[in-house]
Amino acid sequence: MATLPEMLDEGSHDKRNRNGKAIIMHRRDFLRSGLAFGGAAAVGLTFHPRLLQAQGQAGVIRVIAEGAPNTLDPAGTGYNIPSVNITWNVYDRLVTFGQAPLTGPGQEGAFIYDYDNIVPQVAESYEIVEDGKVIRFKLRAGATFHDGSPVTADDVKWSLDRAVNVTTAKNQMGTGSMTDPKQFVVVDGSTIEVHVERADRFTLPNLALLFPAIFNSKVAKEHATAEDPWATEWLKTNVAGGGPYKLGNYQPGQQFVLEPFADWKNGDGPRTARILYQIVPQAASRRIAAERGEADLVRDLPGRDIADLLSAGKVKVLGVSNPAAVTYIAMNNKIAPFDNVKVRQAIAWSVPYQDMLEAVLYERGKPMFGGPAEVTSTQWPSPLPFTQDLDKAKSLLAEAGFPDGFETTFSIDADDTTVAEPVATLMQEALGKIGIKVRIDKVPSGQMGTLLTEKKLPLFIANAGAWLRSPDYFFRIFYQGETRWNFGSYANPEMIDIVAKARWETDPKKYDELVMRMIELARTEVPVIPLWSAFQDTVMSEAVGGYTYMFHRSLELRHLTKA
Amino acid sequence: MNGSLAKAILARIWTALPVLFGVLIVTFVLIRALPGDPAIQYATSPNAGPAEIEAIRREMGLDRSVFEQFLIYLREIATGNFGNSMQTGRSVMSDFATRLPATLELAALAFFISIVVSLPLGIAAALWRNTWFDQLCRVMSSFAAAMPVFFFGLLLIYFFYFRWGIAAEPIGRWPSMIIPPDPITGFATIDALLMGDWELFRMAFGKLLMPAASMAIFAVAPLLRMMRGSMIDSLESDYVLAAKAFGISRTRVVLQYALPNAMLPVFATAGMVLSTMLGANVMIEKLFAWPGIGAYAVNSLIALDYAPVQAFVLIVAALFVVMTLVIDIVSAIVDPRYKLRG
Repeated sequence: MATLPEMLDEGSHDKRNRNGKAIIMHRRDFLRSGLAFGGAAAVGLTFHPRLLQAQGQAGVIRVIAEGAPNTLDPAGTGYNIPSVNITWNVYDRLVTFGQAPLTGPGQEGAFIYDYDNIVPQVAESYEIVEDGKVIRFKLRAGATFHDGSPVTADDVKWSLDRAVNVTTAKNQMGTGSMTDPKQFVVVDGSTIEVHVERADRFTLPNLALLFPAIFNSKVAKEHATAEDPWATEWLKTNVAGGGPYKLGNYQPGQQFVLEPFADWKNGDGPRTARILYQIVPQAASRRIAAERGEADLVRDLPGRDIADLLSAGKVKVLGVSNPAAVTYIAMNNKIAPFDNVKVRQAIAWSVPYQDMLEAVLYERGKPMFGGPAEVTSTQWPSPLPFTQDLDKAKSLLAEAGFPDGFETTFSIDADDTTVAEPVATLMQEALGKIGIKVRIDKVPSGQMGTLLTEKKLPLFIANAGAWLRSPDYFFRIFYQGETRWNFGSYANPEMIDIVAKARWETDPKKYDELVMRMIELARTEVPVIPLWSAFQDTVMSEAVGGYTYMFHRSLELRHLTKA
Repeated sequence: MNGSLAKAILARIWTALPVLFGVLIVTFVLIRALPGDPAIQYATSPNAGPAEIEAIRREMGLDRSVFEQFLIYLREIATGNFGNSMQTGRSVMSDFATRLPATLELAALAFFISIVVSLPLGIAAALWRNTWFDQLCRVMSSFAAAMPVFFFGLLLIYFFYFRWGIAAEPIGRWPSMIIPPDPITGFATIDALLMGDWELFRMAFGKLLMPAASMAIFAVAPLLRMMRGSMIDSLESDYVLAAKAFGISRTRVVLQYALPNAMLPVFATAGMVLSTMLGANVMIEKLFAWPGIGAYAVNSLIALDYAPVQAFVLIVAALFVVMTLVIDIVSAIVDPRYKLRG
């Protein structure tokens, strides 16, 4: 029987793991801190003399987060956000977003995705030809998938065909005018074109999103069946990709290891460290790990814990707010009295914004209130002018014909005790002051989505986040239409009209005018009330560098380094 | 004797089958009666519209009638297929194959700790009734009963791990610097022993200690009180008085006459305790990131993920049937008056 130190000297971890043996994984920190064995110390395990040799091995970046991935398919049915931590890093896409340095206080050395700079990934280069109706991608010579087979135009074609066919990806691809496999034309072994009917500013960015990941089509096809031509069953539990990381040991619901793919040619990034991602469901346990410096990245801590950690000053916290995300108090514009614009304005002027930001988020968010009175820029989301002004709210309510207020229900997800519940309580108190009686209704999470889709809730809290940053895209999803994402069930003919116009507007000046009008409507009609754009807080060890925030909020690993 | 025991066991399993089938039907119907639509729950794409929701409903087979779904479910179960989990993306059976051993291992140690602590204390409290020791036991068991398991777990973590750094990091079954070995039995400690790896065993055992201790605390109160009470009854009974009158030594009276007779109600309580430990330790599992079946089932329930919940209820029901049977057999062996009925 092999002992632990013997195994350290072997090369391939995957192989040994199949043999069912344990492998020591080195974390430089643990040796330094002396907490190394944490657990082991309790049962009398001392430092194994040969463990120190492991110091020569590549470092391990240990990540602790709340949620467990539920699929390995980037476009899997019902895929959840934690699964993006794997799929984003084990697959490449034709193109991806470049990075821009973050400049806020405490953000030194970190980056954010640059929506306006789309760089080639599987493609070596791309050119937009024929008035934007064709995007021609030249593939890299010598790039391979994890199994060593070359990345060909046929692989790309199969992957894009898949993206316009599988349920989850289909609609999103459609927002970039990609709906039919015929649009993806293989020119030769290393050239592929995407054809669209008319130039669309969302085609290219859509190719940089999660769904059109490039699969190793030869492998995937082997597992496709007549009923399942896109191998969705097999890809749920297997990876056929060529991304910067390979999936190593995976224990569903507990942890996974990502190993750097040494032959990755589709971008830069040092990728020297292995990633150990552990799922810790309880916030208290994650906080303890953060406080003891036991992990390199700790995510999903409530604002209260972050505020405590910051005031203790022992750990480094990186807070990044998604530039295209807003938390709203939504009013159902189709249900009386919220169909009355004066009522909506009255409520917008009665929200205790600053108190909420402090008491609920512990100021871990960017305010979306208290902005300028007039629309001055096309920047969106940006703060609307609202603050708490109860006198104004009362008179607006009287004008609306409700001088004595009315009764309504604020619905919250029963599981969301950290944000929704205190927001509801503060709303109840504030609206009580202008005569509106609010009943708080806790809805089981499973039911929340159904009620939202059926548009049955009068008043609730909602999060809007767009992957594509153009303002018209945001308004198209969240301020019109029949989906649940139109939280306010807002159906203003003008908004619908200008959003449709902006879709194909190519003159930047005209486009800006349309966007200004959209923001103006969001301000005057307040179908939904913006509160803030919450930070995604990550507690980071000093040793980690190159952190990059991606549009999907999950980890972008290829730039990460560990000193 | 052996033949009749086997017969009784078979008869018991035979009568358990309709119970399990009933459980199956009730779970199947109840979970579908929950408000909320799974197809909407899993339409997670940011542009999901009604068409996508319909497509997902079809993919999940939820567009069929409940009766049709039930027939399909029965057919699949007959072939050992319990469906797939939307939470892990794996088959429910493979999830249980890794998680059930984790739960059993933890529950076994917790049960062992609670027995080792509470039975001797209960016996001693009965022997020295109404002394300071008895009062101390009473205070201890009231305290243990009043303390939420979760809170006790947090206290343990705070002192033993956070402050003093002598306990294992309260995350999962293995230390973070090792990649866990592939399971043989799925019981971490047993696997380590099978591999002949003592250090691995110590790591796995170290990880078990704190969660097991936290779980054990809630079992101490009922076991201790039950042990004390039934021991007192037993000590006051005619046969013990008679034994004393015959001049038999106190040790022998206690161990040979009083204790076996006092054990019966304790066994019954112990059975209940063990059942609770197996089925309902969601908070401990979450706190220690322990990959057991409790948190798995609750997460599935919240996420309207039918297959794992159905399998969980069925498996736990089957476990209960087995456990009551074992308790009955043990009781029959300990006390001849107790008849094992089929």
